[in-house]
Amino acid sequence: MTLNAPAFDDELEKFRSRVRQAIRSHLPDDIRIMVAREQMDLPKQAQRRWHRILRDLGGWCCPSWPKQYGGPGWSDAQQYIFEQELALNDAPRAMLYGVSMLGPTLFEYGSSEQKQRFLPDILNANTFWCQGYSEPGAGSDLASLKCRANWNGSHYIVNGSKIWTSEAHIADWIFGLFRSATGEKKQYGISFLMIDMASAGVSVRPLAMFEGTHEVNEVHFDNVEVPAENLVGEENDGWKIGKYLLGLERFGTAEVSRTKASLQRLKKLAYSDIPGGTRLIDDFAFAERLAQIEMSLYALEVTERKILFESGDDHPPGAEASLLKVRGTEIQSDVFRLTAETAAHFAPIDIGRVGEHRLSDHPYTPTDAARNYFNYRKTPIYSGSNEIQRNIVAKAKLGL
Amino acid sequence: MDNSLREQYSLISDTAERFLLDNYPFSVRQQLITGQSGYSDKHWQQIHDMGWMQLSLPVDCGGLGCGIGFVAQLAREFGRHLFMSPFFTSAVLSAKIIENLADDPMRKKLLGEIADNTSVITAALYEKQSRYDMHNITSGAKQNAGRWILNGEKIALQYGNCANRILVLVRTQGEQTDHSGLTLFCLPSQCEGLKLTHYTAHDGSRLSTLRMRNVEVSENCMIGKAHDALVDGISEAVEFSLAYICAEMTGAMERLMDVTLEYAKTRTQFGQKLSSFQAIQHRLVDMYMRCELARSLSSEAINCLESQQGRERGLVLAASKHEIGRMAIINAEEAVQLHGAMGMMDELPVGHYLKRLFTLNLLFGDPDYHRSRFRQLSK
Repeated sequence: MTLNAPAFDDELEKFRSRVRQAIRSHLPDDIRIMVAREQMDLPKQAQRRWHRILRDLGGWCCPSWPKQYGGPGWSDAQQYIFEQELALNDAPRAMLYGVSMLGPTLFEYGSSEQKQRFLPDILNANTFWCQGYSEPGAGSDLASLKCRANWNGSHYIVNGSKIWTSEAHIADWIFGLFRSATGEKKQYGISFLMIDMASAGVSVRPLAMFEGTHEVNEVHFDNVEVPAENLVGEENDGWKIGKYLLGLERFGTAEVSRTKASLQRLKKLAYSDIPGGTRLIDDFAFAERLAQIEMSLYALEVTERKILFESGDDHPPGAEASLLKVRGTEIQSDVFRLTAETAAHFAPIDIGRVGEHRLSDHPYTPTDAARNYFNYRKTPIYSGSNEIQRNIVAKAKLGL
Repeated sequence: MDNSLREQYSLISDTAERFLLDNYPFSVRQQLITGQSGYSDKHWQQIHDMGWMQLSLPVDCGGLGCGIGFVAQLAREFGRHLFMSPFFTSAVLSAKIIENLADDPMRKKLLGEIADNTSVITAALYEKQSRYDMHNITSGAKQNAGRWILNGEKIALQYGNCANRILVLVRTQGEQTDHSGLTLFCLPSQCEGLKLTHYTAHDGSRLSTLRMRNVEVSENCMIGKAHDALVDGISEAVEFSLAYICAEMTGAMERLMDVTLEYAKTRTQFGQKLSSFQAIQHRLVDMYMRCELARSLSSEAINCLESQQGRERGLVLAASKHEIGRMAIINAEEAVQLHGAMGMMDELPVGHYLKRLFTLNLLFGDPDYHRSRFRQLSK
């Protein structure tokens, strides 16, 4: 049995049954398997296919979008339940950069021309987006970014580099923060631009991660011409837009339901019979660790509920999101670490190099679990490192 | 430790460090671990020529007769430089098993082969269902007209891809989980009915599984006496192995500490070095303290092999493997985290230390296993 936060009211639980049913009957098997293997960044075609399936169910591909832009117009609770059901049924996350970040940013700050021009292509998965924030010298200290955007009378001329850009290798467009002026405060002089990746002078260098995957890139801009209509909001006033957008990102990074799904998979392994051996769950030390994780996750889930639905505030919370991100990624790490260790002698094997064994479902056979554990070391780093999140809490909640 | 021993230890570790710095830079390592065998024949020959394989082998087998303390100096340097080779499985684990179990002619023959580098020997001890309990064994051998017929599956053979001999532990008596009734055979890696499947691990080390279908061998292939291999010698060889692995993990932790401290002192954010933030300083201090504890435990793990027996030795080794493994993983995760996104990069060594430590932490039992072993032994 699994301990869950209390159910929502009847109407919302009916909504849950409806979306669960739809997800289960529409999710293609090959995509479900990739997600069940904890793959976070899916191939472009798979993302597009699933996105369009959800779109045809009533704009579900853009869960946070209002009806006027083609979204489902769901309440916060409905969005939350939908995300839960996606996670618990091994369905991919909604597309992050176009759908969950740029879309809402354009609702808030975009001109009507920009909304008309960009939103339909996001809704229909015609364009893929990536996000140009971090730079080689500006990671946690984002406001010190240097990638230049100089107005030459007809265009912004962009020069410099963005780094850790997820999906830049499959993206058609990039949005991000660029330095258009320097002032006394480093937050001044930053502009929010959207740039066509096919522009002359844009190049993408893949960055290999230590566990052997390619998710992030360095994007280089060499005298790239960007027209004025691609500026969102006011010139030099992009920092507040960037912060707004980062708030959207941090909102979802607790991944409580994703971790719940990962924990369910781990429990399934734990209860599997090992012919001639002991089930993992009958191993005292393992069972204790599993119980510890379940209790921590429960604590996080009820805290997330409280923050999201009992704060009486219409808007996604700020510092509370940081708390969720820190604890969420810590617990996620615990699940992935424990899962990786379960295969014992087979745990260190790199299944990526033994294709023919991919389908042999542990216990105890070679498994993806160690790769996933290594790969998910990114989560306490990305989207504002957990150190930065703690700084945010220190400042906002403790007044330090 | 007396001064002359300390000097001899430094001589070994200085030589090893020099060799690895000159011949095994990170870029070379990364090429080798993705290659055919996972290591270089040239390096293998060089470490043989420097006497490392002979180091702990008995003098009457062509060895130098040095204690585990000397080999641990090598292990620590291997850890520091992420050196990958069949050294451990052949010259430490298998050699110790042979030394403990084999009769005199067989001992001289097999250890002589390791000493003159004509053999690489690996050991097939565990099975799929056994997890870390080596006595849970179903593979068996039956006697038939003076010959032995072996059947079953073994896993977790290190560097089975390049071994020409394999020590195989099988059940010849008793029930599946009995501690006695186990017998050791030495098989050539090429023989009828024997099939090896090779895997590459995330850290670049090589692991194999072994399937035996009516593998028929003569009585001569038995190492030691029938039925009591585990109790007579394998358990002790595993104790040596644990001390060796503790030293290797400690070396890796030390290097990771250096690398991470260096990065924190260099990387600037918010107009300051990372190392100037007290929150970061405290985490570096915690890493350092874990390193210090690992160093002491690692020394004790080696000392106990010479000064302690039985339960007491078991307790020291369980505590050392548990604590060092646990702390090594914390430090490796912290090292990645403190490097930020750079820590995730393939081009930096930091993630590769995490992968290596992940493997070593599980070798011969993960921390959960050793904690429960400690609990049982301390009753």
